[in-house]
Amino acid sequence: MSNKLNQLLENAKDENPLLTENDIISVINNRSLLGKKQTFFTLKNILMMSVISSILVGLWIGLYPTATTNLAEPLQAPLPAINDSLEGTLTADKLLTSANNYRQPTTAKKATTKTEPLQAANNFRHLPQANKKQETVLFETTPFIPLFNENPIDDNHNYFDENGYLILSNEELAKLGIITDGNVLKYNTITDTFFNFKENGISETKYTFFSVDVEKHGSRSTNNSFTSDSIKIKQSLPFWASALSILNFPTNLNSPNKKDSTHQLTESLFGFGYEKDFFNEIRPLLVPICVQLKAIHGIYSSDLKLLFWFKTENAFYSALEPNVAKAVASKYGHSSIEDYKAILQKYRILSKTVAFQNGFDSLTVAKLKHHFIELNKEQLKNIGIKLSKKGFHFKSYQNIDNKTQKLDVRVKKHYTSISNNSNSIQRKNTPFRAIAISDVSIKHISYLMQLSNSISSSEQEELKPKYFRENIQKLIPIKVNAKNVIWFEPTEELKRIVSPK
Amino acid sequence: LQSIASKQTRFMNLYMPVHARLSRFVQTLVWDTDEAKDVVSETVLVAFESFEKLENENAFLSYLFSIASNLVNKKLRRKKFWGLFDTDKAANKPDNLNSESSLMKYELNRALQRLPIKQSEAIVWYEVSGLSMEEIATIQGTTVNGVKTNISRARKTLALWLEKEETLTAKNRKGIWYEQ
Repeated sequence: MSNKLNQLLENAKDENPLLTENDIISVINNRSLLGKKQTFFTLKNILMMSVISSILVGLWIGLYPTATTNLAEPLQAPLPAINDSLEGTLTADKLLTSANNYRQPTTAKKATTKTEPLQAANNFRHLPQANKKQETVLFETTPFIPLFNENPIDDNHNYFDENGYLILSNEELAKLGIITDGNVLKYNTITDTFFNFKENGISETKYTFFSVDVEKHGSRSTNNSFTSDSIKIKQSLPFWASALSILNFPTNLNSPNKKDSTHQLTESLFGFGYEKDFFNEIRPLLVPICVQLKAIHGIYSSDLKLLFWFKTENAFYSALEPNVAKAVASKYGHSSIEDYKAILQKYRILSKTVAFQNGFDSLTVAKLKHHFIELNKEQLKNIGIKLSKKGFHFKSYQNIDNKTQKLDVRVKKHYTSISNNSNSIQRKNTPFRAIAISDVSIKHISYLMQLSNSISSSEQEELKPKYFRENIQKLIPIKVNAKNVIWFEPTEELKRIVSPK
Repeated sequence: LQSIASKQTRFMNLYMPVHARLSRFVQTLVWDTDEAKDVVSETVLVAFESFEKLENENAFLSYLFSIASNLVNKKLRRKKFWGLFDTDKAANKPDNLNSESSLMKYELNRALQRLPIKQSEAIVWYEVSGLSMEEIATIQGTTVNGVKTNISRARKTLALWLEKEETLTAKNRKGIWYEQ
């Protein structure tokens, strides 16, 4: 192998020079004419420059220590002029005079600093006095008000902001279950909402689990109803029916890549069943606690203001600092459970009435029940329903707006999830079109109808119940299990499957 | 002007006999032709500017090659740093491989880059530029034995590497690929 190496080295030895003699001479001549190469940014030069600049800066600061405070004074002059112009009483002369007034102090100060360096040096010698003056100015502009004082304060405005919302420290918020560090927030609670109650023979004891998470990656609020989960109830806060409302809660923050302008800000009322009338009535009995979250670049365009409404119960007051509790109690007073119950009861009855209005009378229900069709497992599978131990799963595809819409319904013991999404990939168009899913008493109905996206969501909300009510006699009700019925469009394919052979 | 002219004449008298050897040294270690030209020009300029400081004209060769060595190393160091973005290297396809001779030159250059600087310089100066062991020892500030050792080690390493390369190329031709 050394042969190859020798070969390579021999080849390199035979190379012709890159530059000729004339090239070398021209290189030298050009250089001679240009003179010796000089570099400015040498280490020596840089060091010298930095030393000189630091000396100059030091001299400037030392000689003119009050320069910054003097600059603030002329700013006070133009304010009356602006007010006058707003009222429309200012003449051109006045404007000129006020403009001069504005300019004069600046020029005067400039003259002092330029023409009388000795006086400035004297100021420097009387440094303690100068400092004293600076401190006074600072205290005037940014007064320091301690948020919490050891001494009891009669004036309770320190605990409330200009809107009367209670402001608490992060530690105190944590006692109320609101965990925050100023940027992110976590709050979970369980309440007995007025829509779910145990009364007059209705044996449903439902609680609602609310969760609010404001994270750096986005925000989330969940609102899950479930039947008596004893573990979660035990872990919940000691406040009976902790009320929560969020103002300006961003609903569309799950994708941090989206621009801030696309975020929608809405008011969400958790724990009140989205019932504004109820909230307005109960509001005087609640204490609003304001939690301010600082904007995170790229996620929130502005600071978030979240309002949590708590009941003025003893449990709430005991979680607050004694001074704060005293101030809040003097402003909001105490409320008893009875006060709340009275309002709750009213709305519970209302909601019950609404439920009956939306449902069907007992005679119609009895008739409809008679027509429920029960299918075996295989037949159910043929129409897209798969039974499992805990519930069932229903999937269907329909072509709407030249897209395939997928309907996915999962019914389990504690929850029902219905998802509806569309994509442009064409799949088979299942001939079994589900219109609604209900319980056997047709009291609780979820609509599964898939309509064109061109119809607005509010219109869809109206159209779906209307269609279901008007066509209920024609629809094919298939009883999937002991509790649930799915109402199908009477298509030929479905009729073929359900008809007795 | 007269002094400049006389300086130039003296410099050229000393330089021209070693020009070809210097050029070969630079060309062997710096693959890119334009860069090699730059290094030669820069060496000439630096040598000419500091020529007055040279007390003994007999030491011109070591003086010139020391400057060249520094500039070549500087260039190679920078090339290493910017090498990450060398598209030719990424494509593994040098643009001026247009003849058997340039292909061999490229192969030698790649092999030399795997050696320590002192070894690569020693072997190039000895084998390509034709400097004597003593001259190399003077430039590198070492003994003749040290130079001999360096050259011998460089030869061994280069031979081994070339052998490995040859085997790899043969296997690649057969369709077998190995991680280097």
